[in-house]
Amino acid sequence: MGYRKPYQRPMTASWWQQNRYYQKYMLRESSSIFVAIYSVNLMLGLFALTKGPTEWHLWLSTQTNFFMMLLHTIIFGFVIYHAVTWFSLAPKTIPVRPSPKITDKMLELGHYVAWAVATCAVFVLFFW
Amino acid sequence: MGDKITLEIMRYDPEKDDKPRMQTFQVPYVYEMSVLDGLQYTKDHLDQTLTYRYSCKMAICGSCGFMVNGVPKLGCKTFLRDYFPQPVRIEPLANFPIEKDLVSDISDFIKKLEAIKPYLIRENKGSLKDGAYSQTPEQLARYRQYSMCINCGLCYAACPQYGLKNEFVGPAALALMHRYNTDSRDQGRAERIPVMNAEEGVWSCTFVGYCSEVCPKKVDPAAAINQSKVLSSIDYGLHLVGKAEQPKTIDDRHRISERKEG
Repeated sequence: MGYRKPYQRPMTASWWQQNRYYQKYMLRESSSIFVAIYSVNLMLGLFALTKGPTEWHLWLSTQTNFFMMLLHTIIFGFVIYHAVTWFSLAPKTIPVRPSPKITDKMLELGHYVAWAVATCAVFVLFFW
Repeated sequence: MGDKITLEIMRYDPEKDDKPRMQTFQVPYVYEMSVLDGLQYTKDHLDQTLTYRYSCKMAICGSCGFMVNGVPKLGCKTFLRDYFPQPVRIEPLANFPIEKDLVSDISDFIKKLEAIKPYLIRENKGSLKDGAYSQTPEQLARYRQYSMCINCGLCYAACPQYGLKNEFVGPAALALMHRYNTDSRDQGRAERIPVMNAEEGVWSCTFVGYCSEVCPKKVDPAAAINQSKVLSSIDYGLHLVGKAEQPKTIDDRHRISERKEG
């Protein structure tokens, strides 16, 4: 062996900006921050509900101000993005297929169908 | 004729340089030329000190992995025509240390590959007269895709998790682990499970998925790793109820190669 001096290139904090694939990944991962914000807000609502009607109505009224509406719109966008990207990855995580005729596209579609059914169920529960 | 294409090549001479630098070369552009052909021309006619690896020139050996315009690619399978008339930037594979010029040191990957025991492990080795272990086409289909890996290391260069924390076992090694774990002839899954369950095993993968995107053999390591997470979770559950699979073999004494099996 001769002279060796391997050079390790540093990985900068902006590594994810170098291609579209990484950017989309970071966008998908950062959607969890918005989901977390939504969960905290929802928990505050539940907490207000346990406190009594005054607190509950106060929480309800804060939900309709401009800032909260804007926040909810942004959160909704991120949740949709997360769901769509996750559904497209989901077939990769399913190892055993009952039949080789079941394609990745069919599994992805199955997720959308399940989503639609769950959404309808929630609507029925609330508005019936 | 007479067209030229610019190659921007990363150079690093460990005896002279403190860090890599870029050097530009003009090579004659021919429609059929691959990136590897461009490097070959550079070495033959412009600078014979240029160092890079290659062997088969047909996407089988996996030696000529480079970053081409920032994307991990095989030099022999990437054509200059897809970049012409723009310049092409050629760098050694990302995330690995640079040995010299375009040669990266992939020994860390090789070490990890050995750690996952990439061979069939049998509880009892059958005798030769019993013939080969037979397998149905359906059983073959379960792992065939993952056995196509040529160990080129492109997936490691694509993996930010490996770049940020190179303790991670990484895409190709974990895909190959899945390949043996899902092979009906193999009985060594319990031996590989500790590597799979470890912090730097499958759970270090955050499903970026770029490894599968860059794989020149369509192996899909991201799928293999995330299916292994299912196995790892089942193993965790079995441990809780004291029913986890125990290694049947202690070491690789029962090692047999696929080739012997025919």
